[in-house]
Order: sequence, then C-alpha cells, then structure tokens
Amino acid sequence: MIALASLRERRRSLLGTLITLAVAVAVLTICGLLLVSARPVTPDRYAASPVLIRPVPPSDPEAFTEPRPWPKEQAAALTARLAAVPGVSAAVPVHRFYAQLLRDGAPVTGEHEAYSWSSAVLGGYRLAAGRAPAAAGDVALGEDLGLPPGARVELLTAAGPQPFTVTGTVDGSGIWVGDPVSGTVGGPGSRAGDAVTAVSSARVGSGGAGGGVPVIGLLIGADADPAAVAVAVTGVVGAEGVVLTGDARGALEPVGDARTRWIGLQVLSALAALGTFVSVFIVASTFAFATRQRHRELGLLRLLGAVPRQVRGWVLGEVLLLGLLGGAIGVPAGLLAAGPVAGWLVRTGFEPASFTVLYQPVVPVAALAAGVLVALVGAWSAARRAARVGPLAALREAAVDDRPVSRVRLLAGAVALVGAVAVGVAATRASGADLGSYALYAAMLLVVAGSLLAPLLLPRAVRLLSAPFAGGRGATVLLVRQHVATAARRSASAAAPVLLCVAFTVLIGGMVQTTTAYYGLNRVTAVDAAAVVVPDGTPGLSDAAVAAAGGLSALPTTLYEGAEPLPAAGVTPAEHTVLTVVEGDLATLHRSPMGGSPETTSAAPPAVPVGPAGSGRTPPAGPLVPVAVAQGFAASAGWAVGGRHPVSGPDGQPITLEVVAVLAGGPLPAGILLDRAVVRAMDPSALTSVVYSDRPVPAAVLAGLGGRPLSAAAYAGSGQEEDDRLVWVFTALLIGVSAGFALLAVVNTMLMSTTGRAGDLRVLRLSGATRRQVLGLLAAETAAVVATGAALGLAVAVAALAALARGLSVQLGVAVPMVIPWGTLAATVGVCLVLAVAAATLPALGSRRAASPSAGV
Amino acid sequence: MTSTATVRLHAVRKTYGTGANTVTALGGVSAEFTRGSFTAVMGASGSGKSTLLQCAAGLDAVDSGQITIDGTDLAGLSEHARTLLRRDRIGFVFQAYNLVGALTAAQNTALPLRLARRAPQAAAVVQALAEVGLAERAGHYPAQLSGGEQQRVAIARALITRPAVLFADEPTGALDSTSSAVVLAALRRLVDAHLQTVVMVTHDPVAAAAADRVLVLADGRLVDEITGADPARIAARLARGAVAA
Ligand SMILES: Nc1ncnc2c1ncn2[C@@H]1O[C@H](COP(=O)(O)OP(=O)(O)OP(=O)(O)O)[C@@H](O)[C@H]1O
Ligand SMILES: [Mg+2]
Repeated sequence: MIALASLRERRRSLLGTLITLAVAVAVLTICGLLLVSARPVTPDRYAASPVLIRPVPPSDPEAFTEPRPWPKEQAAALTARLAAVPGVSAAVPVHRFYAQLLRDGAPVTGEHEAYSWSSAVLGGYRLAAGRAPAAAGDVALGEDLGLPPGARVELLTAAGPQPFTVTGTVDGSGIWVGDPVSGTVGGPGSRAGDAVTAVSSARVGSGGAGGGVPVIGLLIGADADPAAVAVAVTGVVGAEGVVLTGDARGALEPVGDARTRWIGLQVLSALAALGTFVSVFIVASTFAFATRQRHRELGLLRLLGAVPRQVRGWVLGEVLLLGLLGGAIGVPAGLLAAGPVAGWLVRTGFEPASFTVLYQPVVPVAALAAGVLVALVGAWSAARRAARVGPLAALREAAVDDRPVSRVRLLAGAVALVGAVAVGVAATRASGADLGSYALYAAMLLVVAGSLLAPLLLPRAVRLLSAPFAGGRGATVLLVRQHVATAARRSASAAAPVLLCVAFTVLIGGMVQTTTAYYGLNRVTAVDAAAVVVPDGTPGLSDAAVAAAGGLSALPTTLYEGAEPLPAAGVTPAEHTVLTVVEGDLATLHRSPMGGSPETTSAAPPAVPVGPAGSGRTPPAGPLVPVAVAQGFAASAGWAVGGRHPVSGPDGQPITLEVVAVLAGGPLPAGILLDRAVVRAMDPSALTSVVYSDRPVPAAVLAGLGGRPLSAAAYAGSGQEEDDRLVWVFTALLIGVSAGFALLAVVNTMLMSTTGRAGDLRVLRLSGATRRQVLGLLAAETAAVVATGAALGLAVAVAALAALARGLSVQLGVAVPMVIPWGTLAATVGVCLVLAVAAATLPALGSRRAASPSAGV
Repeated sequence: MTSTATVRLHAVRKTYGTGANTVTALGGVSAEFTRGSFTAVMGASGSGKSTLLQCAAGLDAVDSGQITIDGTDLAGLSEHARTLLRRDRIGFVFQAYNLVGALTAAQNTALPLRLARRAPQAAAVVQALAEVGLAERAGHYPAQLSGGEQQRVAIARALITRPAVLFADEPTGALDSTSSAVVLAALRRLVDAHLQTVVMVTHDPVAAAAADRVLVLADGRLVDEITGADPARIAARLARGAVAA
C-alpha cells in the first residue's frame, strides 16, 4: 500500500522512467529478433542439392572475399572422384562469370552472374520453354525476366556488352549459359560447348582459361541417405574443400550478402548495446534523483519502524513493477515494429534482400527479462542509498549533502576514467572497423566517470560560470550558486542526462566527420581529376566502360596465399604517373609473365598449396609474374624487391610473384599491383571500381555501359557512395536513439526537480520573491545545470574524438585533424536547454494556475 | 539493577563534530521516566533537548552512557533490532507533523502496524483517532486538515502500537493556543486513562504545566527539576536559571 500510494503520488516523475524502459525493451526486442533472424540463407540455385562442396574459405570470415576457387583441373579430378562415391547420382561443378542483362541500355539489377546451364539442376530448375543454351551466344533466362526464346539480348560482361540469343526460359530466375568442355561428369550438360570459356575469353585477347570452380554440387539417388553420403564425401574431399549440408549451405550466399548482413549485425548490436547502456544510465540517474528527493519521506518511514531491508524492497519493488510494465508495453511494440524495421533495413542496405524476420519466442522473453534487469541494475545503487537513509533524516533538513562524493563513488569514477584512457590508448592501435567502437566504448566509460565525478566538478564549474555575475546585488546568482553547491549530488543527477546527450551526439557526429573528412580529402587529392566515372547499377565498370571513360583506373582482383586472400590490382603504364617508386623499377612490371602465361601452364598437374598461408615450402610454381607492392604491405608481409612468392591467382592456378618495385604509401588501390592484362587473363570477372579522367567525360559515351560521370567535387563530397550513405544512416540512428533517451531523461529530471522543490519555492515566495523572480531563478538554475552538463559532455566527446583521430593518424601514417561538429553541439545544447527550462518552469506555472495552496509558487 | 522506570538514562554523553568544531550536546545526563509519568523537558535553544529525545529514542548513537527502554539496553542492539524496538515500544511526535501526504489520516495512523506487517484493525485505528478527537476525519488527507489536527493524527499514529513511551519534540510549537490546548489535553488524557509514559520537549511554560514534572537543560546538563508547578512559576524558575547560567 505504501509503495502503491507513493507510486500514485509520483506517477508523473515515474512516467519518464516507464517510457524509457518501454522504449528500451522495444529496441531490444527489435534488435534481438532481427539479430537471430540474420542468418545466411542457402541460395535458391543450390536448394535442390543436399550436399555441396566448396574450397577452404579464408580464416577471417570478415574478409568478405570468395574462397580461392579450385583450378579447373583440380575441380575436374575432384568432380570425378565425387561422382564415384556410392549414392551420388551426379557431381556438378559450377562455372560462373559476371554478367548483367541490359534492358534499354540500363543494367537490370538483381542478377549479377551467369551460371553454367549444367548447374541449374542444383536449384531444381527446368526449362519452361525453348531449349538449353549450348553454343557461345546462347543464353537461357529466368521466366521472371519476361524475354521469350528467340529474343536477342545484350549481356553486360566484364569485357563489355555482348550479344546473346535467348534459347530458352527457366522456371526460376537467373542467367544461364552453355557449359565449358571440361565441365560436368554425369550432369545434364556434358555434351555442351564451351560458352563460359568463349565468353570470358572472347574480348580479352589471349585464349583465357576461364575462372576456377567455386562450388561442386551433388545430387544423390532417391534411395541414398544424405547424411551417409555427406560422411563418405567428406572422406573423399579431405583437405581440398569443405562439405556443406543443411543450413550450413547458407555459407554459399553471395559475398555481398554476407557483408551486408555483417553491417546489419554491427548496426543492430551497436543499437542494442547503446540502448541498454543509455537506459541503465537513465534509470540510474532518475532513481538516484528520486531517492534523494524522497529522503525525508524515507526517513519518516524509518522513524516509524521500517527496517532498511523494507526500504530497499520498496525501491526495488517499484522499479521491478516499472520494468515489467515497461516490458508489457515494449515487447508488443517491438514485435509490431520488427517487420517494418526489417523492411527498412533491407531497403537501406543494412540487410540482404533474402532477409526475413523469424519470430523466435525466446526473444520477447529475453527482452522482457533484459528490461527488468536494466531497471534493477539502474536502481540498485539508489535502493542501497535509500536503505541507508536514517530515521533522523525525517527530522533534519536534507538540503546539504554532508558528503558530496562518497569514497566508493570516487573510486568507481576513477576506475571508469582509467578504463576510458586504457580503451582510448587501445583505440590508437585498433584496426579500421574496430576504431569507431573503441571510441564509443571510451565515451561510454567517460560518460560514467563524468557523471560519477560530477558532484565534485559541478559546484566549481557553476562558481566559475557565474563568477562574472557574482558582483550584482540580486538574489538570483547567490541562490543559484548556493543551491548547486549545497545540493551537488542532486544537481549532478540532473546534469547527467545532458552530459550523456551532448557527449554521444557530439562524439558520433564528430566521429563520422573526422573519418569522412579524412577519406574525402584523400579522394580529392588522390588524383586531380576533372571527372570521375563510377558504376551505375552495376557492381563495377566493364573494360568497355573503362575504355570509353579514358582515364586512370585499376582492375582489382584477389590473389591467394594458401587460403588467405591478398588484395591486388591490375594497372597499365599510364597509371605509373601517380605511383611513387621507393625502391626498384616499374619498367619490368608489364613484361609478359615468364615461364609462359597462366594459360600455357594450365595443363600442368594442380600444384596448388592447400596448407596454411605463408608455408614457404611450396616450390615456385606457375609463371613468374612481376609485381609492385605498397610500402606498408611490403613491411607487414616481409616482402622486398627481388623476392619471389608463390601464390594462387583468382582462378586458383599457381603463379609466382616477383617483386620488382616498392611503392610509397598513400592511396593505392591495393597492396599488390601487377599488369592489367595479366589480371584480366586470370580473372575474367574482374571489374573496375572507378576511373579518374583528366578531361570531362560526357555521359553519352557511357550510355549502355553501366557507368556514370561525376565532377571531382561531387565525387569527393559525401553521400554518393554507398558506404558513406550507410554510415550516415547508421550515425543518425545511433544519435537518434541516444539523444532521444537522454532528452526524455532531461525533461523527466527537471519536472521532478521542480515538483520536489515546491516547499522551497513557497518559502522564497513568502520571503518576498515575485513570481517572475522565482521562475527566473528556476530557469537560471536549470541553465546552469544544463551548461555544466554540456561542458562535461563536450569534454568527454573531445577526449574520445582525440583518441579516434590519433588512432586514424597512427593507422594511416598521416596527421588526421579532429573535427568537432559545432553545429550538432549547438543544436543539442539548444534543444536540451529549451526542454529543460520548459520542464523546470512549467510545473511551477501549472500549479499556480491550479491554485493549489500547497504547491503554488 | 531492576527498575520500574520505562526509560532510564545514565550518564549519557553526546558530541557532534570533530576537532575545533566539537559541540557537546549532552554532557552526562541521567534521568528516569516511570510508567504513567508525563515529563516536560525545557531549556534554552541549543541546550540539547532534541538531542536528548533522539538519543533516548535510539535514533542517534550516544558517545557514552547507558539508555534502557522497558528493560532493554539500547547499546547492545543492532540497527535492525533498534528499528524493531522503536517500532514496537516507542512513539514519536515532532513539531512538523510529518504525515505522509499520499495517505489519509486513517492510513497514516495505521502506518506503523503495516510497517510491522501487522494487519491494522479498522476499529483500533478509529479508536486511536477517537482518542485525539478525530474519529470523523479518518478519510481526510493531511492537506485537508489543520495544523492542530495533523498533529493529533501524528499522536494517534504514535500511539497505535501501544508504545511504552511517547516522545514529543515541541508538539505544540507550530500551533496557536487553542490548538495547543487540544493537543495537550489529548496527551494528558492518555497519561491519565492509559498510564501512557510521555516525554515532551517544549519552550512553552503553559504546555510544560500540563506535565507532572519539568526537567530543565542548560548546555547539555540537567540543571533543574520542577514538579507540580503552574505556568507562571515555571517561567520564573526558567528565568532564574537563565540568569544563573
Ligand atoms: N547534526 C548536528 N551536527 C552538529 N551539531 C549539532 C547537530 N545537531 C545538533 N547540534 C548541536 O547540538 C546542540 C544541541 O542541539 P539540539 O538540537 O539538541 O538543541 P535544542 O535544545 O533542541 O534546541 P532548540 O530548542 O533550538 O530546538 C546545539 O548546539 C546544536 O548546534
Ligand atoms: Mg530542538
């Protein structure tokens, strides 16, 4: 009854906590549902194959590169062995290359690759009309594209647009072409021609070997047991690959999907972590504030015989009730919102198109539990403090905090501060993606430290801020100074949400501006280009688009050291103008590979190193390819001019790199540079990401080529690049969540503050203060608290940003200036101030209007 | 040593602060309060009256000396045990009425029982309110009651557990003479009808005259004891004490 009566009495101040908890539970429900839903999905094209084999993937799943494919000879041998396994009715090697349907000169997005027709059985696809593609220039298209057999179409390939004739349509989706000669064993297209090879080599000059094989799919007999087959197959495959069955086949999802899902994971977990942290923090500061305000009441109850355990029980019971109530509101809200939010994530690009929400019952239960836990953790110290209130508190005025900062609080604050410094130092050594999260953790710790130590700093800060006005004869400055000084801890609780709000908005805003300012700067200075050509509706630019744009570019590809990817790029002599040689000579970079081109060695037995990266025992194999390496890469990999390093090409074939030059740091497309034609020969699907041109490029020359020209300024300016856009949305989301929570708390604390001081204010009125003076006093006091909270928040953000800038500088070897987003700062402080002053003065105005004798000003 | 005294203080010392700021609030006070006695404690402001009451009620720890209530020595008790003792054996009334604003008069009165997890009997609550003349105001909130009425609710609340002793610190301090008289009459009736032990701090000789005995404190020491006196004599004795001190 006591708890209920006091709940009723304080429902206004508790409403803020309730909303905070409800929103926190909703956010956790949404994030939880989406996190458990974010699983790799088996692509439809493999759905009918119960057992799939792929090469050993790189050890770092966050590299987001395809595993090194099998060279075609190795794939053929493996396919033959697999086909012989009892129960296997067919073993189908998959061949694919980059291809996009052009419709009215615009690339059709969605399908980015053409697959060998023989692999259609792995998805259970059949011809709906016409006949299977066989010869070069034949293509079968998914029915969904609506092009009938006989239609003449253009496919955009890595070489450029190519004419094709639709020979049939498929009862599914996709682009299907005839098989290479050495393709299938026992599959349905083994009679076919060599379209993949033909296409991939058609415009590339030398008779290309086609890409390696990324997947071999198995079909098994109706009477065979998939599990038994999988076991037998695992024995046959050995260390050459990985056998995937069931849901594990999701590993074959497109690399882009995996990357998108990873970004989504970052977004959702950051949101969940921030939401949890902020709500614990806010519940803690709200309850600390409320407990301090109830000092007398709690003392009275103690005086009347309540034991400390009872007092603690009330506070925790109250917060438990609030937590459950918040959960009861937040869980349904989260369940309802999860669907729309998932749709938004897919549209924004934080989740792949295959993403759907799985409504796992464990999530709402966990979110509810988390909400209750958040509430209890938040109120824990307040409950302990409430239980320590002695019965004498009822008899004494509680305005003066006798010990403004307890030793435990001081210690906890110091620990948080030290932790923040440690994380900040760690940030200077963190790698790219982790840098931002380190800065965020450091800021969280600083926020905690700041609010714990605020009672120590606040009176000093207010004294400092009000010093210029102290000479006056008015009572306001005196009252404000005295009030903040004597009620240091109470004022600190009121300033805490402001601190949080300012710290996070400024930090997150500054973080993005600091990093993008650097990268933007980098991009402009990289080449003083008149125009930049970027892909438009395609994952990259074809050779035809590059030729039409006529500028400098690089052709990115991936080499492999064992299973580990090595980013590399192909260049032409034209690009030498932007390269700075530190050691060696670029003259021999474009010398044709010695020991024959990769094609000529293709008949050799597959001597592909399967062991771990860097096993130097593998004898030099394949042709000798001259490369130039970036200084940073050379240093970390231990490569030097003259060194020879056996690796695998993007087609899985062995080659040996010979370092002919080391290049100065700065923006290089990759750590390893080699001749562009060699890249093209090894990687028929490689696409150029950007072309820098020293003359304006008219859009017309790129018509039908999937590219679009931009001015250098437009390119350097943020926003047009996909990653930039994602980062901005992500930032806005994080700022929105933390600021939203914090502003709620600001309003709540200020409302509570004024309501709780009705007695004080009445005394002021009785001692002759006019109503305007009292309101002015409230506003001034609130402004002082907001200003100090903002100053502390700014200090936190600047410290974290400094760590971030330092980390970036160390990482990139260039001085990165710290950017403080003054606009964001001003806006945040302004909003905090307006809301806080309104919340502080409105109850005073309101109670006056209500003519309540007990609470009026 | 057994004693008939409900409350016994023996050589109680209490100081506040440390070093140069040390204030001796009680400098060795001994006193006994027997069952059914009504004692007033008087003295100049800052003489230690409130401190005496708070120490005797176990609200504050003493530096030295012994306090027993109903035969229980406070010194040996934990905070928890002291709270239970206070809940069951001690009633407390202050100058400020200290009612819980969210509760009605009846709920305020029943509060100590609820805190002790004893089901409050409606009849007992009405009875307690009736003893202070407020039976018909049971459903009213503190904001709807006058100062004197609130003080009488506080007395009813202090008595609901049938405590061994009722401590009152300036219970009439904020009241006019009419309301004071009602409150004092209520206290007197409790002493006479129920043999309630009452210890009351007051500055008002008229209030003190309602008591059987007046103890006078000066600078933390008992300096005088007056029995059966009227307001004028009490005032005169106090004035003399103040001159002597
Ligand atoms: N919490 C405290 N800290 C320090 N000194 C105190 C404290 N409480 C009381 N004192 C001091 O102890 C002395 C006795 O105080 P006490 O409150 O008992 O006086 P009193 O007789 O009740 O006075 P009054 O009639 O004004 O209520 C005073 O000098 C007072 O300043
Ligand atoms: Mg006093």
